[in-house]
Amino acid sequence: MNISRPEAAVELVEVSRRFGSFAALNEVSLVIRRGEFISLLGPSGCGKTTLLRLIAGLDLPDAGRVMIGGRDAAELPAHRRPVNTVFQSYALFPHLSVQDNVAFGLRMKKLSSLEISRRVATVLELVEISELATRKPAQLSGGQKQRVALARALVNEPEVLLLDEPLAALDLKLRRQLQTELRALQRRLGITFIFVTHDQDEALAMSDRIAVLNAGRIEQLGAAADLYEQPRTRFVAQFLGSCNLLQGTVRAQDGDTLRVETKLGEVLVNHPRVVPPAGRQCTLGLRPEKIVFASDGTFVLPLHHGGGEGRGKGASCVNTFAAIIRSRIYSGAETEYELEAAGIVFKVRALNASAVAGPANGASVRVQLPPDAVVVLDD
Amino acid sequence: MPAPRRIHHGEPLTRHALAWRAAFGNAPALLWLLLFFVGPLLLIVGVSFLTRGEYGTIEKPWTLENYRRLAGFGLLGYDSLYPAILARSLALGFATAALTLLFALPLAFFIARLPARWKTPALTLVVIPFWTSLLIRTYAWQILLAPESWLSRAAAAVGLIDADSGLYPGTVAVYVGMVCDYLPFMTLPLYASVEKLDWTLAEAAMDLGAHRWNVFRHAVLPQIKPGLLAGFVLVFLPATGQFVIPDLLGGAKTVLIGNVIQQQFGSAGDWPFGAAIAVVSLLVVMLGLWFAGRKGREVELL
Repeated sequence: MNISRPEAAVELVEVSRRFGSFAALNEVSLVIRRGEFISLLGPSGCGKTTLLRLIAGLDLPDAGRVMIGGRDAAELPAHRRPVNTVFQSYALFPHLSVQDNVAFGLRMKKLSSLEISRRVATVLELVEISELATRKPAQLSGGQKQRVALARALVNEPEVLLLDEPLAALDLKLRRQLQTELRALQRRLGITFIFVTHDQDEALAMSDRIAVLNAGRIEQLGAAADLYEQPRTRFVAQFLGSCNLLQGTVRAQDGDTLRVETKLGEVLVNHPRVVPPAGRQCTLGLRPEKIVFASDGTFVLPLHHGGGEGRGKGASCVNTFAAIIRSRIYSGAETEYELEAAGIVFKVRALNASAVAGPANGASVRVQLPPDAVVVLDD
Repeated sequence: MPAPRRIHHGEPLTRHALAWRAAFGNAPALLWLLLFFVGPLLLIVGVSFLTRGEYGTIEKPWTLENYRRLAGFGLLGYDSLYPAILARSLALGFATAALTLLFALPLAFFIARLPARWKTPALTLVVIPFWTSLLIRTYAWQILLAPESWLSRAAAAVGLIDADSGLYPGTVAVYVGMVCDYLPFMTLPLYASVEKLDWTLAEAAMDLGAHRWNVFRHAVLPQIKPGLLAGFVLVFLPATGQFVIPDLLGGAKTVLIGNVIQQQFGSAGDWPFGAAIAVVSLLVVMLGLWFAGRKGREVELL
């Protein structure tokens, strides 16, 4: 036995998996900490479900190692791994009642029937479906099936719980409720949750850390806020939320500020994550909600009322450009504008904090790209 | 007046109108069954309570004598000949169904997991033996399993049989013939079930700590049970009444219920007794199926 990192619940070392000519996973390495809630986020076909199946032992890697609890899992077939899965389709046994479904894993372990019924009762109570114990899966709603699937996995007290898009089939309201419950449950039980999803909001709301996958690789791994505020690649920036992209050429580095020449003119980037050498092409990213209407323009956003002439000078004046409003979509809490400046189309999202309507279509405005909010992206 | 019931194409219909429509639509099939199945069956039941005339005619009086004789109470005291024949036939049917299942199960899984374009050719291969007559197929086995055939020699070489006896005639040949004849009846319904198997359930079972046999028993078997039962019944029923294959391949040494019925209606010219045998074997088989069906449901409830 090969004990490496006892604090790692699961460790993947350069794991690859190919299906014919399609590389589902390409040398993926990932350390999942004990007791964390980690999401594997990505579009369909990015390899997130394959990764989950490799951990569950339902599939085997072509190369690389999967370690579970510090042990190389190559010697462990699926039925002997200390992990359990909540399947996307729930995969409940249709001929068994709820309690027999839940008891299945314990029966396979040949526990005493007394112990089994005690643990089944406890876990049914935990997921609040005690009253459904004698029903068959066909008599359950989607949300109830979800809870049974969860109970059936949790009753085995796994070291790691794998969840394969468990909420995808539920309606929005139920999904929100179950997200909260799942998160609370995970905190309470302290079990490592590996949660596969293609829903960025779900991942942001629930996870300690998120691994964004794309085309069989992990693009970026980090806490929700890190990924959102400091996306490393174009893919991450655009998959998590929306992001304006701006091509430019690096001019120079000025202390902690990067000067980038773009079609709009010179854009300053404060605290860049990477510093490309001068003359290098680069892509800048900026979230729509971080762009602000400048106070010295032809249009003054109500929020900035009282700023006066003085705000137009000094540091707050950098990265300020003239633009024209091309379209606006009002959605209650906020308004999304499409702006055009120097032939480039931008998205701007503004909170409707005041009852006064924002700038109209066709209006000329000045916008500022706050230097702290602009990020340099890898392609 | 009851509210009119709406069916999906929107035409308001009363329960009565629906029933009438169903009867009208099914009338040709029902008439056919009535004329050519229910009628003759009732005739057979009726004849079984009559007496054989001197020249093989069917005469009165009404009697239970045929059934008494079948149960073994003949002129010379009790003789278990006919019950034994019936039991032997049922055993042959059951063993054939069980053996066929043993071969059809892997075959059905194999075909279901083939790439889509190979499935139809594979299923066609399963059905192809039907394109030739049962007799020709059976005679072919006589040649293939004869003592001088390479199959028999191979069996003798590894010590399965005596060097000079051959696989035919004998029990081995009978079961080879039976299984080959009934394999499609078992394979096709099984394949239909296996084809739409939800493999995630097998994965779920594995994930929950089940291994091989337990995965099959708890996740696969319940899903293919309908096909399995259908196949079993489809083989068991005709195999129980089969006598051509056992005669041709077994060396005509054993008497089966099919032989007896054929004799009574044929050379013996005792239609009432033949009818009684037919009725009893029908009842026994139906009782067995009813029992199996009930057991099946019980198992499902567990």
